[in-house]
Amino acid sequence: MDVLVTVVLVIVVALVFDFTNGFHDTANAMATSVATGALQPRTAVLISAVLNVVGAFLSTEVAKTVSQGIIREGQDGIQITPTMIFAGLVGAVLWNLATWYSGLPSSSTHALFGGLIGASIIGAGMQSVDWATVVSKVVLPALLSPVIAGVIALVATYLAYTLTRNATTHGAATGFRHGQTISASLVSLAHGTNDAQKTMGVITLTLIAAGYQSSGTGPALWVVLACGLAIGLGTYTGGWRIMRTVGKKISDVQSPQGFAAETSSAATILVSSHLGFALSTTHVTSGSVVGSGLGKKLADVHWRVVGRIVVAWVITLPAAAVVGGLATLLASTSTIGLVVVAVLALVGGSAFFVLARRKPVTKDTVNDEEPAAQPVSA
Amino acid sequence: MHIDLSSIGTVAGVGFVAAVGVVLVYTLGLRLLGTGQPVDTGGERTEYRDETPRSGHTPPVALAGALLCFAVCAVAVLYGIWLTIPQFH
Repeated sequence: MDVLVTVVLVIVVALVFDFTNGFHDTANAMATSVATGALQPRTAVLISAVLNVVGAFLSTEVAKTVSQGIIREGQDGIQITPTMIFAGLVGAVLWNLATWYSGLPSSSTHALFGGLIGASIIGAGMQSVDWATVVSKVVLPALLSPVIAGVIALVATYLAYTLTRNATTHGAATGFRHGQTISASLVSLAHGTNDAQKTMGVITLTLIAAGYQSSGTGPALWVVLACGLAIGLGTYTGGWRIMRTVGKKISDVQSPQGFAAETSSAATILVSSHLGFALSTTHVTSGSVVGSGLGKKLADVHWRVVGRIVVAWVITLPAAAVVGGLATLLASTSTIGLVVVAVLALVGGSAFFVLARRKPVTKDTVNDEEPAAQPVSA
Repeated sequence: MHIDLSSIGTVAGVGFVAAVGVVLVYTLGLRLLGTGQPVDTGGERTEYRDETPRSGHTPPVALAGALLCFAVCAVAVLYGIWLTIPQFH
């Protein structure tokens, strides 16, 4: 009975995480297309949602790597329990909602890993985490990928402007918008083949850990279906808050920059996934946007916004880890503790939604550089 | 600790060549397509409806070149999709 309750809770929270991942990361692929007017906001999120679902079905390779490596498992390692996975997911979801509320494009992957790491430290001790893997597979790529994507986007943007004489060549602006539609779609597809997989991996791991599925098997069809739909629905709901940050606040992106930035993101993500080198889509796309601002002219980048984003990146993993750890502490006491964590997570998550409704960012205001002036109230 | 510097280098190198290459070829295509046409004075902010109508004469060679450029980009995109879908390789 206890196991069943835990497994059901894990699946529910995992799907909620997938949903937040979807609306958090829409910004990555589509922000610059929406900012330049290449795609209408609704069209952009629809394309992105469909490609995310398609991507989820295409590949289940990444799903398997999630559980392997970072948390030591198996005979000489620690058996990660469904309760720890549940607590880790709670940490990831709450951190994703917090950064979404602040409009910060932080990595959903880091939130997930952070939550799971925190849960394992509390649940099974420091030695349960493979720190060398954390540094080489998570920290280092996070430092390097925005720089790599940024430099590529800088050169590409410079070329795009120079060759079209500052985009005055007849039809150039329109041409770049058409190009953007294609490159943004590629980023969306790559995102789908990566991020939906992470949740599938977590759910499958839980089912195996609880004995409902034999080990060594891939995700079941209903898991693939549920994850694909959750991330697609999240994407379609649209993360307008983060989209405004990426498309307008970092740098006021124009079509040559948008095309250069998205092409750089798509190329970097595709090459690295092909080599089995895990990069965060979020880090790559944010780096590209900064690079495309620099490629046009230095003053175009709002460094204060970039600074806030970088701070959010740095604290994502530890913050999610702390929430995941605390949740483990409470959830591992008893089934009652588990339910208490679930209720607290629900209350916390709802709080962010309520707060967000007071200062909403919608498809109609996604391209406003500054929030509309609030009417002065008594 | 094993840090795979060579694969980081490969990502940076191949990513650079691919992205800058595609942007270069696509932009070249746009430039060739606009040869002999009046300029869009609005530059990057030009909307489709604001463009001056095509009135000049674009040499057939430039048009053919533009077509070739866009074809190269289309192939690059298809290759990207091929790389994304593991069932293909």
